[in-house]
Amino acid sequence: MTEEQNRVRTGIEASDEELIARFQQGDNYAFDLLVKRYKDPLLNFIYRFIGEKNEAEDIVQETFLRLFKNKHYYKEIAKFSTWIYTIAGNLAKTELRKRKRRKLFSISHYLSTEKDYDIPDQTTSPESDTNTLITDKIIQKAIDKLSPKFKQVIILRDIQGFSYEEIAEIVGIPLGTVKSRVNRARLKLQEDLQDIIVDTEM
Amino acid sequence: MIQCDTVQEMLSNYIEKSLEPDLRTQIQQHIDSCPSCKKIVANVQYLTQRFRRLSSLNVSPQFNQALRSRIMANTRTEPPRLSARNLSYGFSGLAIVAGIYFITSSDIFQSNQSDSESARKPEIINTQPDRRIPLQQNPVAVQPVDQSKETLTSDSLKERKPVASDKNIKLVGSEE
Repeated sequence: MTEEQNRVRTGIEASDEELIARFQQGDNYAFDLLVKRYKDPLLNFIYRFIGEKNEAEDIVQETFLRLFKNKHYYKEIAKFSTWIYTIAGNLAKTELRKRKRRKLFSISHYLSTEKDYDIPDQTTSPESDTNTLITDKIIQKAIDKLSPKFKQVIILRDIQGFSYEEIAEIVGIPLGTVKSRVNRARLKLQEDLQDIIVDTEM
Repeated sequence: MIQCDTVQEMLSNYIEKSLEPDLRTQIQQHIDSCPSCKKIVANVQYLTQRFRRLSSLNVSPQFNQALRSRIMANTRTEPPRLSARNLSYGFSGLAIVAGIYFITSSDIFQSNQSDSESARKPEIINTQPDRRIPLQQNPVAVQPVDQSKETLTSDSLKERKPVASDKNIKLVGSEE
């Protein structure tokens, strides 16, 4: 087997769309490759969205399960990335709605202290990292305060780096609405995050 | 003159350099002369860069195993569930087919009626040419007889003349 054939077989250089096509034809190895590509980006997207790692991981799993069960719903007209982010985003929004309901009816919520965010363990150069982690935490809290419709677009744009057109497709809203929501979210966040901005300037 | 509100509205376009050159110059001029807008622009520029450096998470080591189990658990229970669904789908399908058959069969009945009505019309129309043909043929067939009985049937010939007009004869002749 030549090197090129081997690359095609292993799917190292295959596009997402090629992989999903292969998976639709019954190649489960292509599914594994898609999971490998998307598990961490999706985890970060959902974690920023709902602010809790374990639940975020659970939603990522549910996203891949949906992909596994509904692979034939994917049509080539859309990019695979926007399709999978749409599924994940919808699941995250559902989770937020459930939480809101739980908060309304749960007394224990008012008694319990707020759970700390799960920040990855990075032990090199402790001082600067501690500062970075604290800043990250403050940023996450500011993102949490945004309403879901602003939160989703700002995460996709400024953290995940999607284009406005891709975000419009993922969220299912017009391009102009995406742009104005991103703009308003940025203005709100700069208001709420004055402290960390001043700190860095000093 | 550009106001602070306009600058804030155009903020993302300004930062991402997607403004028309003229508008960009006007906004730039406003920012240079407005400390409040200048600060907002600097803040947003800083944050958009800072967001890209947010610490990223990795899935737990158990992720793949947990996903596999989840998929197994969800796909295993599917066959009996699917067959039960198929049954109900089958019944509802039958009901729909029966419904469609009933509607279409009644349609056919109606259309048959209308067909038979419309079929009658040509009959009526067809009878007209049938009537004409004998009229047109008569002069040809009758003419020799008429010639022999000219004296006897002179009156009737006169009566027939208008009927067996030149026009009709020509038509027969041209057909032949």
